[in-house]
Amino acid sequence: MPTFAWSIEEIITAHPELFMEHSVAMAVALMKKHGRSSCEFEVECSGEALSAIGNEFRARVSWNELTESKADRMIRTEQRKPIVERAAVALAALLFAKLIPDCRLRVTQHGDKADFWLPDLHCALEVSGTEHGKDLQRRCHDKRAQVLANPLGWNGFVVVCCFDRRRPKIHWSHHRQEQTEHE
Amino acid sequence: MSNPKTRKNGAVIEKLLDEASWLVSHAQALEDYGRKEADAEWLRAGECEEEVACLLEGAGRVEEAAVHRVSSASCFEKVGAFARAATLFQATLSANLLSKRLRTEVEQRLERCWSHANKSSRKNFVGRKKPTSV
Repeated sequence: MPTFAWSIEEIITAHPELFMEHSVAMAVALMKKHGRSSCEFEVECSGEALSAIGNEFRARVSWNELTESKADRMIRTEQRKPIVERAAVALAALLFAKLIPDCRLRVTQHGDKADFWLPDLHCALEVSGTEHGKDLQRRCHDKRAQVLANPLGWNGFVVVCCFDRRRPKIHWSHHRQEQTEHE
Repeated sequence: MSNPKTRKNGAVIEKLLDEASWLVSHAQALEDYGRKEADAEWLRAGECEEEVACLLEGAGRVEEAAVHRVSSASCFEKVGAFARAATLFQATLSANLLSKRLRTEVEQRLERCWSHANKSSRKNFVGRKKPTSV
């Protein structure tokens, strides 16, 4: 299985259309329980648009000391749920920045929730995070339905990050609108 | 071949879309941190989203305009600018482009904004002093 090594701070410059500093710190707040300066995720991919990347790979994500000190402050002050969700956004942004070239990521507000868009690919993006491995499959299923219900009728990507203590994992999938008509 | 004016407008729209996205994500971050500056940033984000929705509509990208108008309304709703949010929700509904599910959701949020706007107007009216006659 191929292994990629990336630094989480790279998303700050890779996505100038988003303010990512706090998401980076939140990701490190969760990843640092898996290692001193890096965390290795098993990434599973599915869907036509990701076929060039392969079905699975490992992503070793590292961070620097400054981010780690911000993460420590974050753990003391923030609630758990926003941390997990924002951390997942940081990892999703990293995957797109590294493996889908020239792919901008934009956000709009929808009620109390953020909607993500990939305008260069004409795709919507749903991101979710969990700390429990058992939630992963159900979360992927729910997010798939949500992303295909996007108001522009675009195809969609889903990224679900699982920060499980024993087995950190990311599920990354692409879904086409036609799939819903045939299923 | 597209004319230079259309290309220039397209570039302006893309730049504004990036700016709106940055402002929304920054407002979210400030809100996460519980910073009082979050409200001002939500207002800025709402204004930028409103402007971009207008330009998208002018460029014929009406479905995207609806998404950004809802985003703008959501930003204003967050800071209690309910009358402004209601106007934007109303404009989104009148374009008649939304899916049934989204339409129902926007209608419910419009009702809520009207109700809040009514309450705050009543409060402001009661609290306002009548001008003294000369």
